[in-house]
Amino acid sequence: MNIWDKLSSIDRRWIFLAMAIFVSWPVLKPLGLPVTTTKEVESLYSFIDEIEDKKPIILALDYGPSTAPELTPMAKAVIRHAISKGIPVVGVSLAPDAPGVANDIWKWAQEELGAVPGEDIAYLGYKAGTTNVILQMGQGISKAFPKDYYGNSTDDLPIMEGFQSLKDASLVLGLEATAIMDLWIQYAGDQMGVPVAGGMTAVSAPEAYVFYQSGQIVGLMGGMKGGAEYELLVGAPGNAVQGMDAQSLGHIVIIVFIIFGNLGFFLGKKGQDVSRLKSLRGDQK
Amino acid sequence: MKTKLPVTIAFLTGIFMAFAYFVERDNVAWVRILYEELNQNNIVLAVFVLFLGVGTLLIRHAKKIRDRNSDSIYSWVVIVSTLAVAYIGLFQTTGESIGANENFQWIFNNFQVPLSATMFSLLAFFVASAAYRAFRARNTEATLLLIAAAIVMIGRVPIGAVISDGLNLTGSFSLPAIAEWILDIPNTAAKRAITIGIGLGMTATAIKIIFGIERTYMGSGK
Repeated sequence: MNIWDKLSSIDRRWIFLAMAIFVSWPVLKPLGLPVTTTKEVESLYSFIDEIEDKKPIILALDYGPSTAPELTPMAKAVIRHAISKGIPVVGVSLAPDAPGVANDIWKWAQEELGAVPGEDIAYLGYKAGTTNVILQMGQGISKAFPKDYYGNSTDDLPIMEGFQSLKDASLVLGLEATAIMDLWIQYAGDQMGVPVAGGMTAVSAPEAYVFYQSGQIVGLMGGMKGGAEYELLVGAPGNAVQGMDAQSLGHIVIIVFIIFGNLGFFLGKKGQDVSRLKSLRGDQK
Repeated sequence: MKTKLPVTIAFLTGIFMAFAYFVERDNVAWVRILYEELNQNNIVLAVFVLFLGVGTLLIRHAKKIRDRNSDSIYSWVVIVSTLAVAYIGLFQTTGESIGANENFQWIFNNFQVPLSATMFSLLAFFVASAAYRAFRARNTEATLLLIAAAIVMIGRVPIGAVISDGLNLTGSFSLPAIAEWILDIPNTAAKRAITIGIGLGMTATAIKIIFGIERTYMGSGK
């Protein structure tokens, strides 16, 4: 077995070890790689920055703990921005494992930003039914959520003054790990005319570019990078910015191993056998 | 009757919902009222689906325990944790608020969060291993995919800009700019084609269900 063959048959435990080292290292000793912003995130930031009528933003927290490292920094950065501008934030969830995550974010907003529950922020909780819940929110917020997650009557919350229906929201920002984003666009955006924006996991974000280009969403944050960009725009670097170094090196590790695999494949015995087989087939034709 | 009734309900509901979508509902009282009622009923149905899911899960695992399956210890874990969380949520909640139940949040933070985080973080290792084994430039299509994936992976993280600076790639030729172009143009073109295809397929299927041509949603009828 020559070196090229060895490169194409590396024990996966070495790959795991390399990944563990290169992801942990920048967490312990940050590299401080520069994060640049993209137009999709900048346009969301500008949209929120220019909201003047102080109508609430609906923050749809439709994700569970597995995708929280990617999406929670987005939620916190947007809440920070909105509260600093005096824009109330009303949270809802259409995913059953979301309230636990949202509860922690709401506590953070109260402790870190001094947001007053019921006045600056409100969390209405989870309700089953996805599409129908969105449509019902269009008929009346309190119709879909008669009580908030903490047991208060939704209609009695000061934040709900003049905010009767989803149509009264200044923006719906969907933080999504699933295809629920499409529903917010179809029903809140296209049917009710409410501006919609998205914050999605890195694997889901490419699917939303089409809606950004068509103008159906006013902005898009993709993966931890999107969260990091928003953190920088609001001037409060947090977990997402810290995570970018680890993500950068993680991607480099994957690329390096892909290169190893291909070098081994083409220059090793196995790859040469395949090339020989292909040329033989070509001769037969 | 067993067939005609569901087909009739599907027909009337389907036609009405399509009609209601295009009508200014606030101006036509009967359309608005009926539309809101159907919507409310759908939410009630969604709750029953949750019950159905939990019920099926419990029955399946109870069967595994009864059959003394070698993995039945895991079935015990599923049943005990499901019932324990349901009990705390239903009977230990003060007033009517689940948000005020600290036990519920404690279970979430100390069980679900670390378990989900562990499962999801393993992806980084398995993706690296799978990419190493499967991502081979065997033909033109695979090579294009490989190059696009590598550029997007590097261009979407900060180190992409650092590498571009090091290689003196600026403006439209920098890795972040090329990654943005891939996402904006080829990715969007493909996604748009797929979305339109799915939309047409859904419309065709909906029409078939409304007019009773597609009846598989009713089961075998046995």
